[in-house]
Amino acid sequence: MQTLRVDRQPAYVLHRRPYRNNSLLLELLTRDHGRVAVVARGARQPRSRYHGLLVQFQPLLVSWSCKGGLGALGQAEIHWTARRLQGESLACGLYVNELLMRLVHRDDPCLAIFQLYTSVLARLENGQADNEAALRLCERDLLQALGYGMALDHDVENGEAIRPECVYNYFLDKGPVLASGNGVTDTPRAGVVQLKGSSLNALAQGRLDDREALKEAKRLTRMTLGKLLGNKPLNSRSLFRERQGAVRKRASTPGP
Amino acid sequence: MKVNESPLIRQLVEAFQCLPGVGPKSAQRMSYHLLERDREGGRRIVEALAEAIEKVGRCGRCRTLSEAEVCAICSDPGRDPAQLCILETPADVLAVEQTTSYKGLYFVLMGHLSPLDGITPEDIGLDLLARRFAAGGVREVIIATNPTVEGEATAHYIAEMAREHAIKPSRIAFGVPFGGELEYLDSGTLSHAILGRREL
Repeated sequence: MQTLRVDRQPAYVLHRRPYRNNSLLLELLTRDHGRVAVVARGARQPRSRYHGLLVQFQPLLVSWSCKGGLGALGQAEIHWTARRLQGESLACGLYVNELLMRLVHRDDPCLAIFQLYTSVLARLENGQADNEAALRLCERDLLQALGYGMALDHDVENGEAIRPECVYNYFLDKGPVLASGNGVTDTPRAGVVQLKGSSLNALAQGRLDDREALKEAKRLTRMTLGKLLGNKPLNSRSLFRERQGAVRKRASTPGP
Repeated sequence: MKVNESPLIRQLVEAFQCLPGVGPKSAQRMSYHLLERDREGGRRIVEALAEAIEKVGRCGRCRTLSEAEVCAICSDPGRDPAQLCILETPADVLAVEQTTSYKGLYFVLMGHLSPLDGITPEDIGLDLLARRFAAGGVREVIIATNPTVEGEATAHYIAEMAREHAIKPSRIAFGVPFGGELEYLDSGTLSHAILGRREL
């Protein structure tokens, strides 16, 4: 089998776990090769050349070689110094990592996913207020990149543009449909999320700046992601859910 | 492994390989050493191991390894119960104890939050910690989880819990090792050290 050699590729560590006695098994998200699994030999030794380098959210340039199956990490260096994610942002970052680990297949190159990851990290670094909107846009773009893009700008039954003042029923399998009689009496059903036209527009245009739009966008992306994630819940949600009581006291709702 | 080796020896060699840092070669050396030269030592290992596995459990208050219901540190009246230091492993307790400057109590998580590995708050005993916070008596919680992404996420989670109970959370400082030289420091540690600088 031919050996693949990749030199100085922009990458992020999505996940790392101990491997053998003193190595690490890394899941990397790379720009041109998608998600790849490599072994960093000796990375857990105290004087390893990778010391302090192979951490999540750190923009890296990595080289590796691969002869089918697991790759072997070669050189790794810092691409640029990012501000560290802290507190709530860190939990949001872990949530995005889990989402990518669950939904992005290995060795399936997708530049759009690398770019959306870079931009969501940049927004998370900027701090807490914006986190929820950053996650929703990341989810929207991820669904798009995976081929499950959401119809957000028109009514799928009559083809008309979404009217901000109307209420829509968003069907999981097709998209938004104007609710009959403006829908306020409709009872919730499985596979349908009811939301305002203004929230659909806000998600489509990437300006989720009021609480209601954020809340409705969250219900919509959660339903759509739910279809792809199946029965196994995302564990990183437990980083938020447990604290909801406390967070509610401060009049804001947690991340994903 | 040799073909004509006896099954019992092979079984012993394989058993030793569950230890960290022990591969087939060292396992073989250990096995042959015990069988050839130190059968008495081998017997002592068997007895000590069997007894330890049988009797050592977890301390009901701090979760560290202990053969008593409540470990020696937790039951020591000389220690300050208002300070609680949160650590990832029992080995960390030994490391902090050796500094001799800390006189509070401990709480051992036996891991850290790691959603991708399926480790959730209950898995590391945070429900027990929440009850301990609620019971009162703790004034400051010193969070000494490892400076990894997972360790930081765990620290943040615990800090939020502490604030709910009006307990002051603090995080151990990171940075330049004592006696170290900046030139040889990795950039991650150095940037942490500069961000976490303090006034003189």
